[in-house]
Parts: sequence; structure tokens; C-alpha cells
Amino acid sequence: MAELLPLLTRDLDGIIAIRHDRQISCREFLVQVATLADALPAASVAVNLCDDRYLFMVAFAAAILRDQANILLPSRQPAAVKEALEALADASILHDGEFAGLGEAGVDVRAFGESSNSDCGPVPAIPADQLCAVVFTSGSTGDSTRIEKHWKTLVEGTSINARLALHGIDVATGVVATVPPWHMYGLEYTVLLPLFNDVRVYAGNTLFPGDILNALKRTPVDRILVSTPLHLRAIARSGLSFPPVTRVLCATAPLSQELAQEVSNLLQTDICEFYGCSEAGCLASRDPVTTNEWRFFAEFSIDRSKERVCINASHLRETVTLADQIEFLEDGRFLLQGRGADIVKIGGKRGSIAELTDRLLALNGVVDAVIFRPESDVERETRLTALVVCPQRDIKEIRRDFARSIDPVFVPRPMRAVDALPRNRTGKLRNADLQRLTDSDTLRDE
Amino acid sequence: MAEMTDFELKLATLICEILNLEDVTPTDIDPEQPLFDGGLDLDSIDALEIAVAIAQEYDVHLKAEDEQTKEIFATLRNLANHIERERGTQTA
Repeated sequence: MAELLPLLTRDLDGIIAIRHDRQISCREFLVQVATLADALPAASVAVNLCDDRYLFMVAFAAAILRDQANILLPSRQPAAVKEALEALADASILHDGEFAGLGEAGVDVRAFGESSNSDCGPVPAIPADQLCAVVFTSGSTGDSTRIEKHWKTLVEGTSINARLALHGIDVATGVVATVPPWHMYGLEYTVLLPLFNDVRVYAGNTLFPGDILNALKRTPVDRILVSTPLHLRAIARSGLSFPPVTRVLCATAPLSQELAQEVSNLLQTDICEFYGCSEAGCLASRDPVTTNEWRFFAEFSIDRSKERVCINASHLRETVTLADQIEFLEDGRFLLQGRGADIVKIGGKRGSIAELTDRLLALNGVVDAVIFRPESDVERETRLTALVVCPQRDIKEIRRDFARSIDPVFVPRPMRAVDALPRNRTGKLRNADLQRLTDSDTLRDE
Repeated sequence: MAEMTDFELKLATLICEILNLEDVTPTDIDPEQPLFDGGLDLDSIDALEIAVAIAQEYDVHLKAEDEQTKEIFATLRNLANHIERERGTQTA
């Protein structure tokens, strides 16, 4: 018989979420999940568009109970969502208001998240090999790669993550997060972690420093903040004073030692920084206050024999090739040397410069164009820069056309019209020349 | 295009500066046009940058969680009105 793994393994009287100041127990959660699962239309997959972290969790679990894999779209831009939904046949759509008006396939999860009925049945068991979630890499264009997550991978990955995230914390823990639940990092630490540990997650939207402060105040237990360098930088600059936090988890881009120290002082906290990718989840960690060296989690085996580092683990179905260049030190410690020149990461999304450049070149009126990443300090989200030769068209029109077809984080800023690109005799472009041209005043009059 | 108040122009200048909007001059921004989803095509990273700059410049702390924040961020005019109102209550 196929191996089964429970949907949840923890004391059912424990609190799993805080939503609108209400503490929701695991029992109530299970009742809501079962009720929603019964109400879902027959479909092969479920597009989970919930914004509220708790409702996302209810939708996530309900879809799994109906064997409908959660489709976690990389972008919530209305146009991108519409396009993705049109391409998906036979999908139920779970939302919490933002994407209302989707017709019969749409289920508003809000109505299911209010019940305080705690009369749940036995905890459901899920086949270990059931496909439960589909996440996507590369947000730069519509052609992103889909990554399938089976239940066993999610369950065992969570147990690996919990070991570090909750190390030394043996009391009920409140999780406040600034990352969306539909990206792999947010899914791991704010949706899956509470299913298997004494963790309650704050359901609200915590984007701005004021929200984070509010959420921390309403989470009156040992607190973990799941965040990114971008949000931590905003916290550090906000001028607000925050209550102490037990631990800050940080991922998506490298955190500088200076900012790590600043955040550590401000929140009186220790910081655990993770390195990972959508394909494998989190796979290495470091304490960014004291070191820039990473260490892989013990569960992963590392293959250094090829040009790119490959990793494997018993809970992963396939070997994962890492996009980053890695410099190995002694005892398995390593330094990240950044991604291959083509891959950029902005706002937690990976994009290919080559792919973006092809799209820009394909636009009407673009004679020549280049997209590159300017030199800059690490913490600020560095946008791409584009230089475009477009003698017949206004650069603003080109920018508008380009913005329509890609995720907004990848729209170059600045995007400038130039007379010609500084190509050398072999036709190549050097970053230094591009930067010089961007900084110079010899731009074509707009 | 709707006319801009002095404070709206000041805020537009701040936004252009922190977001590196080089091909947009502050006076290009229509105070009644959407800042996000069309209009200037700003995204959530920009929203965070704007919120932090407003906190530093005007000591006004925005919360995405507030129901009306979407409304506040909808246009330059709404944002300017909100900041002026908040500052008014601080000094009152």
C-alpha cells in the first residue's frame, strides 16, 4: 500500500494561526479545511490566489485533500493571473476577494475561514507521492519552468527547516512574515512549518515596517520574523521601535554583515540566514552577524564534479543543479560567488537577462538594445538598466510595450534611448562601457 | 491633467528621486492617475521604498494592513492628502 503521511502532526488544541486578533486552533483549522474541500468543484488542479496567509493555508490544505495540486503563480499582476488562468483547463480557483468575479470556478475562501467549530474528525493522511504544489522559477517572462512538489518532499523538507529555524526554542512560537506564502521560502516557513510544529502564524499582510510592528505586537509569544534583506533594510530605516524578536530568518538575497548587526541590535535577536532555490527549498544557512561562510544542511549531498554544483537529498525526486557559483572552503563551508552572469534576482524573482533582452529586441522600432545590471551596493534592490537604439519611436512607448509583457520588477530603470551601443569590433558589449554611457550626458534627446 | 498642489509636487519629486524614475519628471505625474497598475507601473518593491521615505521625511507610517491603504496609494493626490492629514493630527 502507498505510504501515507498526515496533513498535520501536532497537538490539536494548539494554536495554528492568529487572524483578526482571533487565535485559531488546529481543530478549527481542520474543520475549515474539510468544509472547504467538500465545497471545491471537481478539477485536476487548484489555483491558490489567497492573499491572507491563513486563508492561503486553509485553501492549500483543502486542495490537497481533494488531490488538486496547488498552482502557485509567480506573479499576482492581474494581467499575468488572467493569462495563466486562461491557459489552465480544469482548475478550481481559490481566492479571498482580490480576484473575485472569476465565474463558477472561483471559490471565495473567506466564507470558510470564520467557523469556530472545533469538532474535527481524525487528521487526514495524504499519499506521500501525491503532487501537492506547483511553483515556478524565473518570473521574468511567461515561459517559467514549473517545479512539482510532492507531499513527501514538503513534509521532510519542513522537518529539515524546522531543525534550524526553531533550534533552541521549545515554546509556542509566533511567526510573522514579510514574504508571500506562494513563493517557496514563504511556503516553507509560514504555511508548512505550522502544520508540524507548535507554531502560530500571523495571517495579516505585513509589507511595511508599520505592519510588521503591529503584527509583532499582536503575536504575544516567542516571535520569529520571516523576512528578506529588502524588508529588514526598511525596518532598520523606519525609525520605529520594535519589541524583541527571538529569531529573524532571512533569505532571497545576501544580507550584509552591517545590516545583520543593525537588525540584530534593533530587534535584540539572532539571525539565521538561508540559501536555497525553488527546486530544492532552503539548503544552507549561516549566521550573517558573525560570518559570510555558508554550510549546507547535513541532509543534502553535494556533487562538485561538474561545472555547476549539483545537490541531492532523500526527499528530493531529482538532482538539482544550483544556479550560483560556489567557492568551497574547508570542512564543507562555502562562499556564494553570485549567479551566473545571465541570471538576476529582483524582488525574490529570478530572471534571465538574455531572455529579457530578446523580448526587448523583438519590440517594434527597437534597432538594437542591451539590458545589464549596474554596479551597486548589495542591500538596495538593484533594478536593471537598459540602453535602447530606437530612432523612430519614443523611449516611453517602448518602455510601456515592454512592461506589458514581463513582470514589473524586471522593467529596466533607467531605460534610456541612445544613438548607438558601444559595441567593440567583435560586437561585444562591456559592462564598464555601458555604465559610462549610462552615466554620460551624450544621450539622444528625448 | 489635474493641477498639482505644492505639496503634491514635493511628494512627486521625492518619489521620482527614490525610485530612480529618470524618464519621468515630477510634473509628468498626474495627481489623479493611478500610481500602480497602469499609470507609473510601480510595484510592491516601490511601495516599500515609498513607505520608508515617507516615514523618514514626514514621520508618517503607512500600513498595508489598513483597509484604506490601497485607496491611499491609489494616486499621488490620495497619498498627499493622507500624509497632510496624519501630520495635522500629530501636531494638533
